[in-house]
Amino acid sequence: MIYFDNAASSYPKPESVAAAVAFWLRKNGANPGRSGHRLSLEAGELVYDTRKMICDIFGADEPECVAFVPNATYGLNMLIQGLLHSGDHAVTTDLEHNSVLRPLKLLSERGVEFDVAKVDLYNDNRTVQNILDKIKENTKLIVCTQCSNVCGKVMPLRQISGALPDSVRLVVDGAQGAGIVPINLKRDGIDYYCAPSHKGIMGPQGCGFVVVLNDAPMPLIVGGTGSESFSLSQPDYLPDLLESGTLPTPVISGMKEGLKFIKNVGIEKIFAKKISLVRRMYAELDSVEGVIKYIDPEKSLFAGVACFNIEGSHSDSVAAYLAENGVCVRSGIHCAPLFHRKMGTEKIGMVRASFGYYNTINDINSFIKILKKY
Amino acid sequence: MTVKCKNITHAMKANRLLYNGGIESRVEKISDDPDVRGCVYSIVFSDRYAERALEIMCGGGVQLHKSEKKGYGDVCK
Repeated sequence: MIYFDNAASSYPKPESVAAAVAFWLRKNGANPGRSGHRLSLEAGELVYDTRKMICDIFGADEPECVAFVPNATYGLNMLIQGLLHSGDHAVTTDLEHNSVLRPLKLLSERGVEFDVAKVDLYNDNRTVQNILDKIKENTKLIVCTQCSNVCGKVMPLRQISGALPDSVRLVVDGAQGAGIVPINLKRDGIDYYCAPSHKGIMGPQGCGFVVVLNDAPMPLIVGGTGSESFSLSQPDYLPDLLESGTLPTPVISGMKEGLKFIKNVGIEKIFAKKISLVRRMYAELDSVEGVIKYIDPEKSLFAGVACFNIEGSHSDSVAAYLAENGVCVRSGIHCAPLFHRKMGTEKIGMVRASFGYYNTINDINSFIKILKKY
Repeated sequence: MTVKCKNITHAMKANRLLYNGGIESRVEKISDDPDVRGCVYSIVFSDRYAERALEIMCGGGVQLHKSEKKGYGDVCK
């Protein structure tokens, strides 16, 4: 099997991830931050150490600024819905996933306005200017991906944050970038960041995190936090404000091992590998008859993802053929409707091959052989 | 010495900071303070190191439970 669907969920995971999850399921099923016995405190330590590791890897200072959430979509909803109020305006881009676009659309029915700025895939200065051009007096938030989930375009976040007025905050969707594209939240001027465990971080599905480096958003849900229990109001401090209900300790243990793995390998090294796999893939695709490429990977940074079509075929047909031949890719719209509109592929979608840490050039060679027989 | 922290995250933070500062401590969940209702996690360490421990915790941004304001004011806010 060739697994080229790492942008949907990375696979395989490092063995240490699976071992950690199994360990916590078997040896410690306690609830972190609720009780005072040894098992509960050990679970609490694990959760704390994972927050700390997220700070170390992503460039934040205080572990309490890291809140665990069920997934990146939840985190984005919490940030977007929790920071924007009636009368506010937000700017996003045409590379965004529906996890950004749909919350904004929902809020537009509640008095929040938003505009979409065009990303120039090969000219970052123009992209930054396009974002700035959309800013109005009541603009509160820019919501931007770190890295496109369809084409892998790496966004110029530092440039964007550096150009924003002080009153405008930057929310970054790290769903595709976390663990793949180097980032330092403080250095890069990012106010809010969220990411899932199960993609570039190589942890299990079922958990993600937000990092809050500016005013805290309103929570999406409230409830038990293991603190201020006699108060009927949600605690107003982090991370309790944003973390109601029991945390998934086994999943967090797997996430911690994933974080350890990428830290040991080095995100710069992972990034370089993914860029080189993308370039190799696009170069090899030239040898396949009828291939339509949408990206020139030599002209900008595209991390980990190659997208294409075969002339005369719907992307689903190509993906189905590949699946029959042991290749896992994703076809269709990838929950990124504006990107497909931009590229003119609304009707047929694209075939997306997304690479993971364990993919090799041999995988690409085998893939090309199979694709040539389509 | 027992110092009540804002939440378990701050108690764990205190624990790590004190460890790095060479002071042995442990996190405990206490419920014996009649003035405090609800879950509270505390950091417990030897009285001998009280001054230094508080200095480390304050320097490291550990936030204390509101009931501790009586004793420590806003020092560790």
